[in-house]
Amino acid sequence: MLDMVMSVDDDSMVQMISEIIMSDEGFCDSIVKLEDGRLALEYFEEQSKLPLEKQKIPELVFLDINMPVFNGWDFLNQYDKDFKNFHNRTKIIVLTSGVDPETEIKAVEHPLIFKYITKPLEHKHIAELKEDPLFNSIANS
Amino acid sequence: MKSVNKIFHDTFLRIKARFQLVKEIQDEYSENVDEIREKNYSDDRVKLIVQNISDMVTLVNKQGIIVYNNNAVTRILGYEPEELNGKSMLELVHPDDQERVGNRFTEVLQKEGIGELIEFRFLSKFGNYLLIESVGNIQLNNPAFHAVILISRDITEKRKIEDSIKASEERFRSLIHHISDIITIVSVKGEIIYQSASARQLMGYEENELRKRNFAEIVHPEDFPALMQSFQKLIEKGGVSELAEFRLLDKNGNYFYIEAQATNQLNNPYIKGIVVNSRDISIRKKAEEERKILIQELTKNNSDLKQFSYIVSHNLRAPLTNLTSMIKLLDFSTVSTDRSLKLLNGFKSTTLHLNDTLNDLIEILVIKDNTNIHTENIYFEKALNKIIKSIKILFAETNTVISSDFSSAQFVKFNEPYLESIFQNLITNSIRYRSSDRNPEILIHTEIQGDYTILTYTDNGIGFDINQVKDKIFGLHQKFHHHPESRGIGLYLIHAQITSLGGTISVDSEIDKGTTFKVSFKN
Repeated sequence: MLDMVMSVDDDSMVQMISEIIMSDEGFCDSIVKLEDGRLALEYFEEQSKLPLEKQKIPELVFLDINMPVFNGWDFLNQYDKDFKNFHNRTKIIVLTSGVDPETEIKAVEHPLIFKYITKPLEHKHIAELKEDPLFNSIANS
Repeated sequence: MKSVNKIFHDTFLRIKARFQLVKEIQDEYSENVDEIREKNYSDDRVKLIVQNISDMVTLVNKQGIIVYNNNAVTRILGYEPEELNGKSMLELVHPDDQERVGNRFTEVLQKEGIGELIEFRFLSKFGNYLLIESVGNIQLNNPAFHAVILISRDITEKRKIEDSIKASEERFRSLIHHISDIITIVSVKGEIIYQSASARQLMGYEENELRKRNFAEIVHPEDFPALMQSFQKLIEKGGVSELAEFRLLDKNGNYFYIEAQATNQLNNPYIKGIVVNSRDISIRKKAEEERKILIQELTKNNSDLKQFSYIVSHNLRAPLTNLTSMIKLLDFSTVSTDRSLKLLNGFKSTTLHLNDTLNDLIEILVIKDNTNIHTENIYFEKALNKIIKSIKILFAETNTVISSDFSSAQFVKFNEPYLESIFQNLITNSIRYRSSDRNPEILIHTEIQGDYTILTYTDNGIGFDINQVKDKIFGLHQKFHHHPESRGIGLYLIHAQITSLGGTISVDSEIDKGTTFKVSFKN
């Protein structure tokens, strides 16, 4: 079980569904729900100011791409630059509607993105993650 | 123009020669008059010459009576030389010319020496009039003659030729004058030698205003280098240039588009220039310009619309995805009342239907937008089996039977998901619109026809009236049945998939017999 998962999505229904599914699967202890990329960055900013032992860094981030004001790509650009020390502690999974095929291509090629999942998040996705040795190797480190 | 000058020149030379002859005769007679009188043989010699030269020599006394004719009169007019002696010359002249000839005669009687050339019609022995050109030498006071010496020749034929040349020249001139194309002749240096009247109309310049000016002055500077290049090429290589489009300056200082083609006629002695045939294409150019703007606008509109549909479909997709998730997560066994269960079931089926529709629409958007679709050799059998497997419950429920024959064409170069989509849509349509009187039967076979692989798909369903729907069947949201599951997208989708890869699909149907689709895949 993971300690913490962050869910970044402007759609509160998505947040609710993800929460239910993760809770059904007993996937994590706590979920941080944030509604855009800016707030997610601010979260990391806050944590980076704390002493290491007090930091609460999510092992996994579910990131929506299509968000108003500060979208998923904006977040990734900034996160890449400013929070390099978190990169090996956190996996990022893009969870998006999948209408635009370009997004998938871009996401699959992006070095910071661990996985691309088309909405909706389902039980099987979480089950797969739990079975994925590559994911676990990081989640447990 | 050249030929007319030439005729005048020839005539001048002839007249000059004839004056010479008249003078010689006169000299012979007058200067040596004593000698001639004394030496008869000399007289005879002159007589012989005069009698046998090809021009008619006629002596007329001051009363206008013919006193002598040489032998040429026989050849030209048919009379014996002596036959006309004693006759009035004027009486043999055409009545319409008599007054003019008579006046001239009276006039010249007062003078001495060589008169001017005159033309008149003269009666031949055969009763027709010939056109005669004549020059007189007045020697009334010369004791050797006491006569007017007329030297004449028949110019009927010559005049006919001249007239026909003139007429043909006039015809060409007026042809060039009245055509709407501009004919320009320029020198090897680009100087305008000639320009047809149409140029004036089109460009507003006065006649000959552009003459001697260089065409460089009226060609748009931006078009000039390219034009100069093809002009040089034409001069070097000869022949006919490519069709060129360029702008010319009109009298009001505005440029207009013309289309021109030039021919090298430098070696043609009558032209010695480059003949440029051009026409005003400003209307066409304007239309082209408008079309370009229209295309730009349409392209922009189209991309705006595409953007719009992406946003719309995305914005619909997100809440719909949530709805489907929620329905899947919802535990129906915990619902306590029948009413709520019924409503929730309705909510579920409506949501799933909406979700399928939206997925189809998004699929279409992706096809329409994607010009680079992966293709490989796909086995028909494999694609069909995959679909049959995925809907085998539906097959069992409806007793549907499929027979297929792919032996003539086992595979086709196509996109795998597209081919599966084609089978999926055709088969679900056949089952959806099956007849209630018989079990659904589907026949599929493939064959190769020229450059195409043809897939023929036939069912025994309820069919439809082909005449009513022919043009619409592959359109978007064309539903031909009041079937609750019909979304009106399936055929549009496979049509888009087939045509995006260069294929075609056609349909034939008969009510209560069935429907046949023919898909042609381009090889």
